[in-house]
Amino acid sequence: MKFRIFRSAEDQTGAGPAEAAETPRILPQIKMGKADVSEGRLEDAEPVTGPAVVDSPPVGPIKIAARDVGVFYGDKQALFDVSLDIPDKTVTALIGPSGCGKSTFLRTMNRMNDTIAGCRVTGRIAMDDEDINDRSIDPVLLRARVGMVFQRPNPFPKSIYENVAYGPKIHGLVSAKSEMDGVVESALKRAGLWDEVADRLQSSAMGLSGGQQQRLVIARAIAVNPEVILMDEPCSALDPIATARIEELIDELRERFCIVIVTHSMAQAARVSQRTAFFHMGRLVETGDTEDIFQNPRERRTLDYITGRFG
Amino acid sequence: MNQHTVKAYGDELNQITAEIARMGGLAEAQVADAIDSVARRDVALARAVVERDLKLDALHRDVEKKAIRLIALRQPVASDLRRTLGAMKIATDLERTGDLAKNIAKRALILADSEPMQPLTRSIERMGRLVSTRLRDVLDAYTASELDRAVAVWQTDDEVDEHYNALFRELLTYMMGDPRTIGACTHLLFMAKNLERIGDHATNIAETVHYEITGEDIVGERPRAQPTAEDSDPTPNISTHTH
Repeated sequence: MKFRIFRSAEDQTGAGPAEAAETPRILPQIKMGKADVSEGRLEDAEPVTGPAVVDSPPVGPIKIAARDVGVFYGDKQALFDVSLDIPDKTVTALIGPSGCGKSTFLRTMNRMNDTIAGCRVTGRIAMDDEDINDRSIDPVLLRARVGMVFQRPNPFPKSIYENVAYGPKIHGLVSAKSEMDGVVESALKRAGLWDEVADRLQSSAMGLSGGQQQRLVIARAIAVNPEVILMDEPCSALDPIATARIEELIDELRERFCIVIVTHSMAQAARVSQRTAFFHMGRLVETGDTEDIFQNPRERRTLDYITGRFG
Repeated sequence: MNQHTVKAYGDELNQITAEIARMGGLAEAQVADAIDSVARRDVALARAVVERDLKLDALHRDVEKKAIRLIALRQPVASDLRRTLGAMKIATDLERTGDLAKNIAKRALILADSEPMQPLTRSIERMGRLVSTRLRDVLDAYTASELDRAVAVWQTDDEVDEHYNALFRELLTYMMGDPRTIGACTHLLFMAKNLERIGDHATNIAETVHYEITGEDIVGERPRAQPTAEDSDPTPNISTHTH
């Protein structure tokens, strides 16, 4: 299942990623962004026009392309015509006041809204040119590719080791115990938690501090080698030092993953992200490089929000 | 611009802007009085200018303190950040303007002891008036956030340079004609140079106002009068602008 928003390079060269789309996806593979597609896209950009969204397109391969995404809870529409390119190996921050639709949009990217009765998603969301809402996509497998970290750390009431090993185990990624040990260690190391828990892997995860639990949850998410990590206010329950640790971790993780973070802290969005999208009343208002959004936004509503002028 | 949700934040920003306006008014008066003290050979006025400079210095320090405090406590972004940093930069320009006015007043005190040189002091007065007008225009542009007015000041910087070059030639003629005037003429030359520098500070402020309003630098060529070779100006127009 492919669709194209922009004319891609293969239209001109005749070669390109067509074969990649046909290759059956094997889970633990991290699929690299298709640089050739995105380069063609930059030159030949014909963006689908939404209603007056101020947009300066990202540089680099696009991981997720959302087009005219709407979300309905029953009769109530929560999200309107959101079209947004999310680049790979980049942190994209979604900001906006409560109820603006940023979390709703985040949840469309791994089909978390499927679990809500009466919720309907319209429009298209493509990950590597593949429609994630297509019938052929198994949401469980999708969520292994698109991991999620929530506001409150939610470790399983099991040992630290079990928490991290759970994902690889149920997805059948690892069989041998020694191999699993390696996976757990590397995930904990990448999450910056290894040094603190190496000598008590079998103790309960519930005994960890909030910041440690949140890093454990991140380790759990990256243990299955996802391509995208969604974070819904990951630091709102943490103190400043634990927050700084997570932010440092996010900065390291972006070398390997596409990260999308919803945050109420504009300072945090400015600190951790390279791209920022501002939502207001269910619509995407402005998107651009974070430094531009926080130095000189082009849209008045964005300026009012980031400078604290929303009455 | 809408109100800040946190009123105290908006109030603090407004206080800084108001303080810049006050500094601007004082700097303008200093320049005008310094020029008057030269034209009227008014020793009392010249002394008053020298003394009042302390007030400008104090205001400068206060603006900086307030701006640093606001950055530390409020973490301003975008237009608010530009406004805060703009205030700091303008305060520095105004403080320097005050120093130059003070220097003119000090030279006025010295000139008051020597023979009057009517035509020359009138030229200085004209140049002083031009520079004062530019200063007032750019400060009005700042308080009213009028972009066009700031740009107009920026674009007409060459008028001051032309005045300076003309005065330079006039002074040379005098000094060659009567070497006894060299001492007084040198003071007048420094005054002219000081006025030219004040004009540069007005241009700097215009650039800051432009950046504060738009978030971008002024682009385009600024017309500039070049001193001709026969002027053999010992200090050619070395601009103090930061681009």
